[in-house]
Amino acid sequence: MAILSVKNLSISFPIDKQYYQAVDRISFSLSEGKILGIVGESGCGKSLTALSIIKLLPPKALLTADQICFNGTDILAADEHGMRELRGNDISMIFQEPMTSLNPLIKVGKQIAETVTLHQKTNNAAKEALEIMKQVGLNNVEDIYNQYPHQLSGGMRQRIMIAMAMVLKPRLLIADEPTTALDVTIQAQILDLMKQLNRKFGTAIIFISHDLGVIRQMCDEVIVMYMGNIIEVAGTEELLFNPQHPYTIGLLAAIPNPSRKKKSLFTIAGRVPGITERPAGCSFATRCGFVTEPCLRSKPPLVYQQSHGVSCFNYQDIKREIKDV
Amino acid sequence: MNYLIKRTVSIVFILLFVSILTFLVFEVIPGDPVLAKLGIDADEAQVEALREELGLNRPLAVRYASWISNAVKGDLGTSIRFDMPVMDLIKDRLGLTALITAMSLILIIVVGFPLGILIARHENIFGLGLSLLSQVGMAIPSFWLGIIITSVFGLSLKLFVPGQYVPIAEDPRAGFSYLFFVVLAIAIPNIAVIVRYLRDSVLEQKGQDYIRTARSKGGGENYIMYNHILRNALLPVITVLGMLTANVLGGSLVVEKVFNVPGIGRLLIMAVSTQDLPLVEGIVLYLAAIVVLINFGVDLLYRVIDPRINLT
Repeated sequence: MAILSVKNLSISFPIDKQYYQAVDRISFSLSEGKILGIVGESGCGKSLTALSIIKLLPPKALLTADQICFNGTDILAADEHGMRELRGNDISMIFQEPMTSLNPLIKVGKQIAETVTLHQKTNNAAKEALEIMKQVGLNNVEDIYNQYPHQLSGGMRQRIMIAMAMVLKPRLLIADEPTTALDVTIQAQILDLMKQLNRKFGTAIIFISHDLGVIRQMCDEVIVMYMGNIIEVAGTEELLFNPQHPYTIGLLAAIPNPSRKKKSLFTIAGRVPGITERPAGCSFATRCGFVTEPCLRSKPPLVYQQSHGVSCFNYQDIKREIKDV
Repeated sequence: MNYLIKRTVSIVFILLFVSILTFLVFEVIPGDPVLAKLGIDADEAQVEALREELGLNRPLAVRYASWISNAVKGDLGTSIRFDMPVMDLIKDRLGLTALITAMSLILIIVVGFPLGILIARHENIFGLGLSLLSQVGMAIPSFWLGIIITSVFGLSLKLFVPGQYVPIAEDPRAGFSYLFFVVLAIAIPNIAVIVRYLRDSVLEQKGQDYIRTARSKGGGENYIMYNHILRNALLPVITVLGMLTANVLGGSLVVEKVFNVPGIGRLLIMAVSTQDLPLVEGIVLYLAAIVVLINFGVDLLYRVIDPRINLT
């Protein structure tokens, strides 16, 4: 059963009195207890998509959708009060930079307990905070409870963030590049922890990253976004070993491969156009090596073969062409 | 502990520096305390005798050394003009100035903080209006405001009799209501400063990542304002408040003259105009000590509130 279903979600921003679409009519859904990855370059709209689910978009952003449904609740229709009850309780979020995402003047234990007191009338908030702190792999939790964020290491801070998000056992956790600011070894530990919590509590996760390696470790299904569009969606293994869209193919080719040390790294030519200069047709047309006339005229729909969706007019030809080479 | 020692040493040096500066300034500015006391008709012998008696014939360095060694022992010397110990003169009037300063600071906090928060919360035409008003308030000098207040509340509305300060000891009600207008003149420009700083500080904190975190946990606007934003936003404002104390004290010195209040400001102005060096030195030293100590207090407070700063 889908815990989250999003239909035709658009987010636009006003620039000089004109609205520009940062996210353009995307649809996706997430099954209970699953981990969905959203991958894409900076500015592709992946973070905005995540923030729209708990309605924490910047005030200027304009959100439209046919449906955003979470666990039977119509998010689109929910008011601020209704959203506050969901946030932290049923849907939690963790962010990229654990140092700035914690209040520097409040003890970390208190900040975890705060999630509890915001939603429940209880005297056990501190106890629950200590309990979840153990669950996220912190030692000496009584000592750490009374420490301030600046006294902890980056990895510990992110564990605190995760504890804060998980203390009420939410149904959905949105993780916006949770390991990007961490060392690689710490990164692996945090990913491990999130997987473990996903299994233990059955919390579904939306995992946002630009790192395909991390996505591969974590996710059941992956959405590839480019300039506000979903250009490909598939199960993780399927996507990584059978990519269809030229952008995804390019992304995968750009991952450094140690067995081909001598060769120079593959890069996707060109750059992402700015939000005010988006093309009318396929968003990737300006950088695509296989562009044909229809690509410039209209936007390719997301076409599914079984559960593998791709938004490209020529993906079959491209597949053939690459095989021939 | 280390910090406390360092701070104490630096305070001593600041006060020493201030006292030396005052001595030097008096060497440079024209005028003669002896002539100021005896009048320009005094005969040569009289002037010489008084000069000898006051020790004014000695070189500057010797005079400073003897003054400072007495000051350290708690003796600030004798006023040339009043023939009274400087300490007694200051003691008589410092209380009133301290009261005015304290009342001003309280008014600044009580009005400035809520107003700053109010403006920060309303990023609309109302907030903009108040924001502009605070800009104007910052530009108004206290003494001018004192004159306007005297004219409006004193002469037109007759809420107090200008120039007729009633000592609080005699009639507390009349005394305090008179002082209220004095305090108003001092506080308004400083309130504007606090409002400005607090508004900017709150708006800056509002955009921080941890606020987004608090919202993602389910905190409401009010909850986040009072539990997350304000704590962080007040830190820099506390520093500003410490610096404003010097402002308030200085404002009090001038405004006392406008309202004819017998505080230390009037005494200082009189002492300067009669070249009464021991009295000026004494007052300046006292004021400097107050400002330095209050800033020290603010610093300590800052260190207690902000866990990121160590006391060592």
